[in-house]
Amino acid sequence: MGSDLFTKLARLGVVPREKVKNNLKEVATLVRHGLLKKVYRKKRVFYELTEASLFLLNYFRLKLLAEAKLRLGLYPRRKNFYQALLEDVRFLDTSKKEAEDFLFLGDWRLNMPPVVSQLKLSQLRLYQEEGLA
Amino acid sequence: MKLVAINAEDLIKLKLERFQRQDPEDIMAIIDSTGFSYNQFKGFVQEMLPTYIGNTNSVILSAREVVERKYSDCFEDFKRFFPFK
Repeated sequence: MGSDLFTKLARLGVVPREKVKNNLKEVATLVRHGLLKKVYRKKRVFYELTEASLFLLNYFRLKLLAEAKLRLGLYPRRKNFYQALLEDVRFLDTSKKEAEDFLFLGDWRLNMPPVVSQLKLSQLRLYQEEGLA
Repeated sequence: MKLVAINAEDLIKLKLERFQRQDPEDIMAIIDSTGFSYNQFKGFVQEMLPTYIGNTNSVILSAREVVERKYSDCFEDFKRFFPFK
């Protein structure tokens, strides 16, 4: 399985079916392994990461952290953005286009391993935004 | 000039409502510096829920994350006390 699908899933911990319609085989594999579950909300279909996927989410978080450190070294002109991302996200300018690359469970908190409640909150927030909660 | 400072308890409540970016870390730092116990934290959540405007599940999950990270031994008790609706 490519990491593209997991990148989509890790952003909010949940995706609407239409966003993964080209990866349905990989989705089915994750569902079979209990890492993803199919959820129906007001006639729409979503795929939610389950608690069992937390270890994968943690690997993904570490990957994002390493990527941020690499970019901090490679792009000195973007120092403010990457330093904020790595050290204190209150100063992070989320309007920058790079911010989307580092969105993790609906936020930019890369310094703490993910926990169940964090995953569920991120999923709830997506449903709230879509008027489904 | 009149200076008005917000107390630690109210700051925790405000941060629980927003709960983004640095808020979780700030809440945990406040708990560390004040030494608030699990029961005190639980009391703050209990106080804020009846007057909270919006989806209370959101606050419950935010508070659960704090308990999961900070008072992990009490996580099951917290989940029972504040069920997800």
